[in-house]
Amino acid sequence: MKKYLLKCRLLLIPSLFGVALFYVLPYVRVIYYSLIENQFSRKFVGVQNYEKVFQNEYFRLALKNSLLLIVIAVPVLVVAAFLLSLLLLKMKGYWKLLRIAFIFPMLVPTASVVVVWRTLFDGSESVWPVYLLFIYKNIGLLIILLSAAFSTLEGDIYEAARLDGACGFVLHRKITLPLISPTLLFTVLIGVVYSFKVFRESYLYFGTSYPPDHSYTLQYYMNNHFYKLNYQNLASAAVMTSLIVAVIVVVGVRLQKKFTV
Amino acid sequence: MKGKKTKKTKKKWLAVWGVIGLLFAGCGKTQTPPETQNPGEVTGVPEDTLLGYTYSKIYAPYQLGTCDVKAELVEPEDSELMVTKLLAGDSDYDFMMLSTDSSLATDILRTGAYYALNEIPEVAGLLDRYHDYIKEAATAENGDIWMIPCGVNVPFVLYREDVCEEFGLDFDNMTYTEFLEQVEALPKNGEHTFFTPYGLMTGDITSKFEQVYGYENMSESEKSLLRNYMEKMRVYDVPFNEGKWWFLSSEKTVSHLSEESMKKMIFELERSDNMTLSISLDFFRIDGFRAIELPDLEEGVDCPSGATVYFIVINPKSAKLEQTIEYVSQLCEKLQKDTSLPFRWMSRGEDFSDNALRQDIYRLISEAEVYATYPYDVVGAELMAYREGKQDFDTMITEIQRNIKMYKEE
Amino acid sequence: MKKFLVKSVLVLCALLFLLPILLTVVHSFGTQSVDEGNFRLTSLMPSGFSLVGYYDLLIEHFYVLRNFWNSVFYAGSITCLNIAVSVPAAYAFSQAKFKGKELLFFFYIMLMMMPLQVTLLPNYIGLRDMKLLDTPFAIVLPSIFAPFSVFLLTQYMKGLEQSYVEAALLETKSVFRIMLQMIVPQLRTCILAVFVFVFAEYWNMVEQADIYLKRETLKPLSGLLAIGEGLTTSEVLAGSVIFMIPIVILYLYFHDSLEVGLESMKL
Repeated sequence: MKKYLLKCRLLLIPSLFGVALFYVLPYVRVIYYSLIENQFSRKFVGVQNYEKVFQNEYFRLALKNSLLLIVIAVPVLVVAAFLLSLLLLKMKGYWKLLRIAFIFPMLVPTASVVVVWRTLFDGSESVWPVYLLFIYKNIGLLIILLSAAFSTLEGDIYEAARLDGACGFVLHRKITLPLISPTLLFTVLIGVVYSFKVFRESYLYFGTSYPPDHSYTLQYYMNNHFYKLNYQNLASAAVMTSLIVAVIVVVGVRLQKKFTV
Repeated sequence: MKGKKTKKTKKKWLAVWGVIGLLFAGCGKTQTPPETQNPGEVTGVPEDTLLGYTYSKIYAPYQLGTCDVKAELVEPEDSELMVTKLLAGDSDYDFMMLSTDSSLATDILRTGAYYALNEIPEVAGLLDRYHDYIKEAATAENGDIWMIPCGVNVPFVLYREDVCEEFGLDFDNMTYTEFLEQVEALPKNGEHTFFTPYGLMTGDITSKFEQVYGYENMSESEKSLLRNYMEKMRVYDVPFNEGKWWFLSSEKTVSHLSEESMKKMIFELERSDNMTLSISLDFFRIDGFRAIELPDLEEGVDCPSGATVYFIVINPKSAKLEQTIEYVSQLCEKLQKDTSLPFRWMSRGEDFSDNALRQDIYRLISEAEVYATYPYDVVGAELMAYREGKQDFDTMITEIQRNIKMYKEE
Repeated sequence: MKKFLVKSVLVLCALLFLLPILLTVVHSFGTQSVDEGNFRLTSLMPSGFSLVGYYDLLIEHFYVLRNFWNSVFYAGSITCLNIAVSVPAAYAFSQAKFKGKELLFFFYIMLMMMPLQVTLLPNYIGLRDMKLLDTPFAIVLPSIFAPFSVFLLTQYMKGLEQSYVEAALLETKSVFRIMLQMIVPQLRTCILAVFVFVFAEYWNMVEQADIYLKRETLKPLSGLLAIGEGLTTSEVLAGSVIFMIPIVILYLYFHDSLEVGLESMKL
């Protein structure tokens, strides 16, 4: 057995090698760039860039907007996916195929969706068009994950609970939720991951590098500094963001451990 | 039983379509997209040739290709590539040719992404030849010579003295408002032509406004001035093919068809770069054409013409740096002695008294100034939205000010 | 009554979700009804019926088929290789015990969250130094090692019953064989799901192709359609429809197997 466990570790090597080369190395490079004054003079300035970025009101605005996206849009996404999965569960036969519709947004090129979105939400002044775009695009994946989790639930628990008199809302709250919670937390994490990738949709929707204040997220901040040859701000912002994300992830993982039955 | 069968046939059909799709795509593998215009960009240039990137090859002076050291100028397929190459410190290209009205130019100067040219004597010699403002534009605050100017472009009004006198158009003392009023009163019978590229200088009005007043901290009178002009732009800014009255000939060249029709021309909005092309030779040959600055925005607010300077900046990380420096010194030596019209116009102390039009343009160029513009997303997008009727004036101003603040402070 | 309500809500939602796709398909058969450059539809229904978009795209600009093939090649190879690398890694994460495993997994999650702007330039530099720019490797190599699939697969694998493994150990000592013959068949559904998602993600990739590739002959169709240079709006719409077809076929083909056989898995 021990040999087996040791050998298992070897399986990690290809992935580790590639991740180190194409993800860790760039990240280290980014940290290095965040510590120098200028891409061209390469003078070491330590945390000066971090101070500058952190004190910048637009970075704080971008940070706030990105966090709001996570805190508002992701829960809405997860709840919507959960409800839709529940409803889909009750379908039998050909009605099950309805599920196909929800995965389509993820497969379709963004530009097509944005055209429709801009027509629908013409003149809207709130964050919700972008939030809805985010939810629209990613709900399919979460529905599939949650449906898979639902299908592992054994029917007899429900039978027993129904015999005891539980039904409807209470039934789901006391039985389904606890059993599903590991998956739920998992989907929340996936939602957070995808919330960082929503830049392309937002950029196409607003059509400018300077969107309204409420939608100016970290990626805009980083993108704009890239084109201003200001890679230092981008790097510092990226490192700071990854540290904040690390905190979120740690909290999430701890929660998931606590809930695993 | 039947259900299972239909499921299997469905799968079979999907598989069939999948294979057809792959074949369809597969024959695409035999296709080749059209030849890219810049083989040098893609496959690299030979060992002894230098590679330069530019947004637009049109403004490159021909002398770039006449030195002993060979150089090739290419336009990247993707303009964002130049930013990436700069940031990544790529060494496979040797210089860039840019213009002062692109934001990349200001960013290169600000971040020091250039190779200082102070030690190359030919460069200093060339700069001495130019007008003061061009020399200043090439010098950074810390004294570095960061670029080599190789062209300048200034907008102006090209007009016929006699015809304008006939119609009472006095360009010397005119505001834009007066200009628009007077043009409206001109006869549109097709006998006399006048021409402006973007509908009565509407693009130049906003450029000039940016140059003179800027968009931040606008006073009420400045706001009403801008509003006044933008209202007029909404009226006049109609595309060519709608055949509106300010473009009397159906093609620009009609007015150039014969000497007779040229002599009946009233005015034309021009840029000094175009005047060095062969199609403009007639303007110099036929007597009576003059040039003057664009009308003022306001009574008594005189301001120099806004010049765009085209220049070369060396890639500090170039793999062929020595070769590039050699090329640059050869180029500067050539340009310093060059007697072609564009370079004479850029130089101090030249004399064109033999030709009134040339003298006029020379004066304009020598009295111009270089100013930086904002990227399109910051100001241009809002202006365009207003002109298309998508937002009102006050919103436009607020948005522009917001964008400028963001651009400067983010 | 309740069932009817549920059904109608679902159908309504499904229609809403399909709306953009339907509109794209419908408008691809119409005369120009999309406000170019403004990304807006000028009217809900197209004004006429014409195949001009398809004709222009497939006859005049036939070479875009090369880009279509590139997309198929990239998405297909990336997905297969990604799974080939991620399945062993996920297996290792779920089975092996070693110091720092949690920490390593944590790093994987963190790297997964990096927005593209961050890794784009350093990877450009890395690929340039490896002389891989403007080759298919520039696109394929970084994507193969994307941590997302490792993360997904680990979660699925954590639910594996140890008894299976112990039983398998009695028969063979090779970890590889255990993995391939015992575990993978049970996880076939999950792997298929990951396959579809990864394929979709790289089928639609734009930014990497833009920056890492220069030659037109190497570029995937996704970028071409996103920028739409040299193509009219109708062509872009027609292209989008053709572009959607493979991914839809892929999903429909595997859609039922995504459902089946997860009973023994715990998430």
